[in-house]
Amino acid sequence: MGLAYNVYLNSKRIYGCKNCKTHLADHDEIISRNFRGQHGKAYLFNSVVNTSAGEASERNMTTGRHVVRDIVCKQCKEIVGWKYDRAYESTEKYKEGKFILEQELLCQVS
Amino acid sequence: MRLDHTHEHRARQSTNGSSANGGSSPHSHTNGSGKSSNSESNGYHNNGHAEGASAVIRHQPHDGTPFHGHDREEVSRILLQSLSDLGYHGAAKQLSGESGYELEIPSVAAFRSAVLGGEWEEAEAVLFGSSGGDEGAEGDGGGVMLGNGHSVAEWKRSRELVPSRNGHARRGLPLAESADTTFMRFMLRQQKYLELLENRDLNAALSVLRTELTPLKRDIARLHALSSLVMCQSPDDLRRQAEWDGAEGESRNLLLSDLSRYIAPSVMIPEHRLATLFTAVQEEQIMNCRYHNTTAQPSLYQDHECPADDFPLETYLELRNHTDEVWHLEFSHDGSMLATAGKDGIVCVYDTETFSLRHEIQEHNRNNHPTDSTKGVCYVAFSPNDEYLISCSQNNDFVVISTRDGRRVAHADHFDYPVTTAAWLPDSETFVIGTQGSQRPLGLYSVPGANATSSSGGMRNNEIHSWRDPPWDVSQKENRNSFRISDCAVSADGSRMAATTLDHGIMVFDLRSRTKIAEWSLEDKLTSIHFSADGTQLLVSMNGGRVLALDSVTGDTIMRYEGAQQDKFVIRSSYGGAGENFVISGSEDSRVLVWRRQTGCLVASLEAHIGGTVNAVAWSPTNHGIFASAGDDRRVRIWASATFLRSDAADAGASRSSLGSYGQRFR
Repeated sequence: MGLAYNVYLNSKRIYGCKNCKTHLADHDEIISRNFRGQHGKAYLFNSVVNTSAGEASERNMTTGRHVVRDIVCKQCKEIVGWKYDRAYESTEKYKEGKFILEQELLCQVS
Repeated sequence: MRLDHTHEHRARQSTNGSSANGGSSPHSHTNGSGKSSNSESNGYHNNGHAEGASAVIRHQPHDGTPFHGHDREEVSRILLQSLSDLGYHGAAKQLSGESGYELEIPSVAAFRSAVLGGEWEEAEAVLFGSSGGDEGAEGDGGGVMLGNGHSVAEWKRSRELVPSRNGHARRGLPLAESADTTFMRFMLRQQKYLELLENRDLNAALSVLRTELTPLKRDIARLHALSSLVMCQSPDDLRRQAEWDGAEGESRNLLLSDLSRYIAPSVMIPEHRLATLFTAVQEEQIMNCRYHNTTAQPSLYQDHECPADDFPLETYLELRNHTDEVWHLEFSHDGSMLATAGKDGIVCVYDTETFSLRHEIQEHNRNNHPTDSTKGVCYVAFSPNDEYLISCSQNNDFVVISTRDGRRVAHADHFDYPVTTAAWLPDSETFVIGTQGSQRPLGLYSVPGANATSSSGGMRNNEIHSWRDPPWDVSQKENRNSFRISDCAVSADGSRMAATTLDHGIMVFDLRSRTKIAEWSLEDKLTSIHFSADGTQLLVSMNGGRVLALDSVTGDTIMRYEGAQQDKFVIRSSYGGAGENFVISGSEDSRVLVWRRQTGCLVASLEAHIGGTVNAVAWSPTNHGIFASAGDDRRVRIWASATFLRSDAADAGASRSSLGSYGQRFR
């Protein structure tokens, strides 16, 4: 839909899409590194850029039931992680509105 | 030619044998014959000349009924001024005689003649009043001849008329509210000084400087400049240094106009008052005219209101060449071609007469495997002479194509990031490229000259100059503090270039010295920038549906155009229409919006490209009844005015067949 330019981040360490090097997140926005995704290690980020979110779905995860959406890189449309919409357990509420990016699908763009 | 008006109520006195327009003469003047049996009235009013006529005219005011709600005196005097401005002196004299009003009271006439005649003490005395004494200089009881056609007629100052003359204290002319008398004196004396210098009368000039100019204690810098003029060797030198026209030139007239601004308008009517009033009314009507798509001067005979017929409101044609979203389109400068570019990586060049496809350029897809998804062409720009076309793509390169044969003449692919914009300089040889990369955000490139040998594919990477934010570290792949460009524009005279950055800023560069002259920061993402034709305004599209006109020197917002929708995508706007009277923009809600540039009022909001955003719009520079819009539904729509549609339907359907599968007509 339309032409949209990528957003570029200004920081020392930037993570980008492994496929097309589009900037995805800033290293300083990491909240926790203690996550596991389908491909292995994953990080919880406060904010990400250049992504579009898909349909919401309920999933059972190791930490409980959550409503999540898959996020894809805007440029190459590859899945890079997911976003937490809602957490049913109160201890997991801190994840709401935050993003998970799988380390396997990321690369460092300096 | 007999003038037939009634003179019964007027009494005239005649002196040496020439009579006034026959008021009290014994025979009737309404006998309809063209001849006058009165030898005294020969040649007096027959042709309107009255040289040497020294008739004293006493006025009796007309009955003061208002003229359609306006003061009769004001209307008559303005008409008098206009008649004499037009050169119809006889008619003017006639009018003043008939109406009983004069254009100027004698003291104003005296002032005017004093200034134009170079009698400076006289001028000052008349202007500011003098106290008592018998001034010999102003005495001249003879006829005061007014020069330069400003006057209505020759007036004779008669002692009876103006009792406060000779021997009485004069009050001077009534001045306007904001008149600065010291400044006016300064101007008069400055002129006197300059004229004395011109005549090489240095002693007199110096005495004027010392005794008259300096005591005013104004504008010391100017005083110093004036005193340095004594050093001038010759009158020509003086004129050049002082930027002054000389006594024989226009300077006295200019001085008179300057001073007349400070005199109360009821006494000395501002120059060309009627013309000023006409212009004001016309401008107001033009401002309020909604569909004003012409530069022709409207007639004074009727109120101006443009019909909607000349404004493009209806879809004429839809072009369907593209297989994916259409992102940008542009008319050539002579209006003969239209180039469109889209996500499918193809640039289509159409001929605007028939809208048939001239070239289909696939340069960007050259090196792609068939399975690769190309990223799309996001910008096209015609050179000012329409010989070349640049297309910028998201594949991190741009290509310069010759419009005649559609082949590549130059390209550059040393970018790591998408090329977002291009702007030509007026010489059609050099152009500016903006990219999203921080290493080469803004570069100046050139196209090979006509004598260059064409190697395979033309010149490559011919960058002349690159603008970056210093310091630039070559070893680093990314320069963190650098800017990234989303759009750029070059002013029509090629002196300045403005570029919008991805972090909401605008930078203005001087192209001759290649330095940055201004930088402003705005609130939100900017997607498009254009210079107005005269270079004084910048049109930017900002997120949040804001289209703004900024002053190109200070960066202040001059006008806002509201109603567009823009949040996620790149939507472009531009100037268009006759005399650039309109601002046109696309929008994310599938509409094309048009505003009046000067007033900001929304003229039209047209539904186009249902189901997607309208990415770009372009108005034909030569045919003001046509504009085109590009949308996400893969179509390009041509909009035309009703007059264009009618004239097109008139020439038969010969061109209908040539469209073939390319487009669909709506009529």
